[in-house]
Amino acid sequence: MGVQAFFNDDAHEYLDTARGLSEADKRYVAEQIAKDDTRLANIMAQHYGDTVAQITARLDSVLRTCDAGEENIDADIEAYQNGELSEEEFGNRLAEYSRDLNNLRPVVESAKSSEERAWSEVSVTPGQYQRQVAKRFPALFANGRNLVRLPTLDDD
Amino acid sequence: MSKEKSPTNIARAELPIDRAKERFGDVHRKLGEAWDLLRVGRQRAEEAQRAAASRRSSDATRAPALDNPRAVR
Repeated sequence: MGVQAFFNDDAHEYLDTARGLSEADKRYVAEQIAKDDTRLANIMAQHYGDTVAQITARLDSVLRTCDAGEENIDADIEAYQNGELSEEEFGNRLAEYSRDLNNLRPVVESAKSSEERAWSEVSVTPGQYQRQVAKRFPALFANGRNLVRLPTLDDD
Repeated sequence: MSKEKSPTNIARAELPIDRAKERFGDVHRKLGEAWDLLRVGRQRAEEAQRAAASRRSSDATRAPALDNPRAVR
């Protein structure tokens, strides 16, 4: 018995091209395919939703940190100008702010490309999505579901 | 404008990326101004120190004259 991946778009093609299926069989196959479409669409929505939630949380953190940071810098500038902060103290604080800001930079710079990547992964048909996953995680995919066992010559 | 949708009807998210970039830029600019302020403050402090040292040195050379205001030799 050989093992071969049978993808969602293979099922669509089968339904479109199969000959000799009764109307009842066609309806049954179409129902099963629709169920698979829905299952994959839910996975895709979750995939994109998870990524978007993660990026959103990071961006919210950047916005909160920037708001607080700006206030702190303003307060320190005032304190320095009033002589409440020495040059050394002011310099140390500015160095800390710079470090924090550098830590935020990758989040800001990667947000757009991360979202675009996630969008390109789900902005496809369920069958194309399934093939992408199979390509990216061949071992995991092959050992999972979405496989059909086909009789081969070796099985004789 | 309607939201972009995927073939499976997923709506594309609108993320606050531009806002985050703008705020990051604001804080970056503010921090730059603060560093400039510190630099100017340090320069002034150094100049004041140099001026004070120069005053001390000229006072030291003038001291004998002060001890001898009539410059009697």
